[in-house]
Amino acid sequence: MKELIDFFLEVGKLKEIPKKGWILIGVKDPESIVEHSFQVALMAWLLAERKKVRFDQERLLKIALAHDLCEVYAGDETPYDKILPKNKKDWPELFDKWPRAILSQKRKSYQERRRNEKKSLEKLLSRLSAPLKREILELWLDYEEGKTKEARFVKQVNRIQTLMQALDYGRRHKIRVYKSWWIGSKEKIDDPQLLEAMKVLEEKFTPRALRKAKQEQW
Amino acid sequence: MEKEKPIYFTKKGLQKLKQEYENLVSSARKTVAQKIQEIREDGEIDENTEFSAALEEQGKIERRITELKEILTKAKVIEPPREKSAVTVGATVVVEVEGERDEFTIVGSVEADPAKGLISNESPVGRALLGTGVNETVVVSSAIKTTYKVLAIK
Repeated sequence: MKELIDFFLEVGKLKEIPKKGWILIGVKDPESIVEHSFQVALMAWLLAERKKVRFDQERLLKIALAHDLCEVYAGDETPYDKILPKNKKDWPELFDKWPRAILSQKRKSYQERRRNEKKSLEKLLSRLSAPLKREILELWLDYEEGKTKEARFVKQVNRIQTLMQALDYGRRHKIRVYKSWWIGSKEKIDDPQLLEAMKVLEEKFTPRALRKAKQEQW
Repeated sequence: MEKEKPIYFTKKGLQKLKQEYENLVSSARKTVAQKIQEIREDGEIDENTEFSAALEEQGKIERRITELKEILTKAKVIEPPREKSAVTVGATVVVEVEGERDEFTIVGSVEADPAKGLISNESPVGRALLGTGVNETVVVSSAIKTTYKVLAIK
């Protein structure tokens, strides 16, 4: 029990770690990793319910809860971290573009990130019992490798949640919605449910729709 | 409505999946069934955590076997393209987008991993690029329009 409590307290630190991307684009009081994971879990559960193919809901939820645990020590990363210009005035131009690279560079970055995150996760899990450690690590590896349909779905839900959050910050806090949110999503999402969700987001967050929503508030 | 579509695999990827399926059916399934039998024969299965864990493992194995069986019935191997005049599943495409170069390999949805440059043939960008030739452009529309120009097909 003591080890579990220690683990919960360590994981609790994720409540204080904000999603880095929101800080970079100037969101004050951005969502934390825990808030993000909660919404991903909820979205994965309810969106999977709509699919014709039956999903293992328990696995889906566990993957959603475990997918960012490594960030307790690894921190949250964005694809812009290594290419940020020194002058912050140049950041908006950078954020409007989705980061590009050749295949070998992508693989190298992926392997580096994965290595760091695995090390971080193993450190977090070190005091847990062997079966729990094995299970959480297996769930995280599944998420990373997309071995099961549950893992592949959560990964794409993760992307949709981030897109939705960007649009919501744009609407509520007048934070610029960079084009890269859409561009990256069009490359990453292939699930029919989530493509449908993306279409609804497009309709809901067009400038015209936002103006109409604001008028209806009055 | 989700229609039945083939799921494309690289030869290596499909081999890996078939191997996993074989291992589960011929080995893992039997091992866990034996373990459950042994625990049952020992008696005292109520509140036996080892028994619960073994049942859970068995459930996990059976679900994975079902999933793999379903995937394998729809699996189609990506044939290396005879000509590289147009983008096909399996092709590696060099594109220019937003003034910068990028490189993707178009694969099936199960093997897709955009972080590694493997784009699903069923993603909006993957679908748009299929059939495109060198020096041709495609526009992927959403809330914004993005133009991809194919520079090379490998």
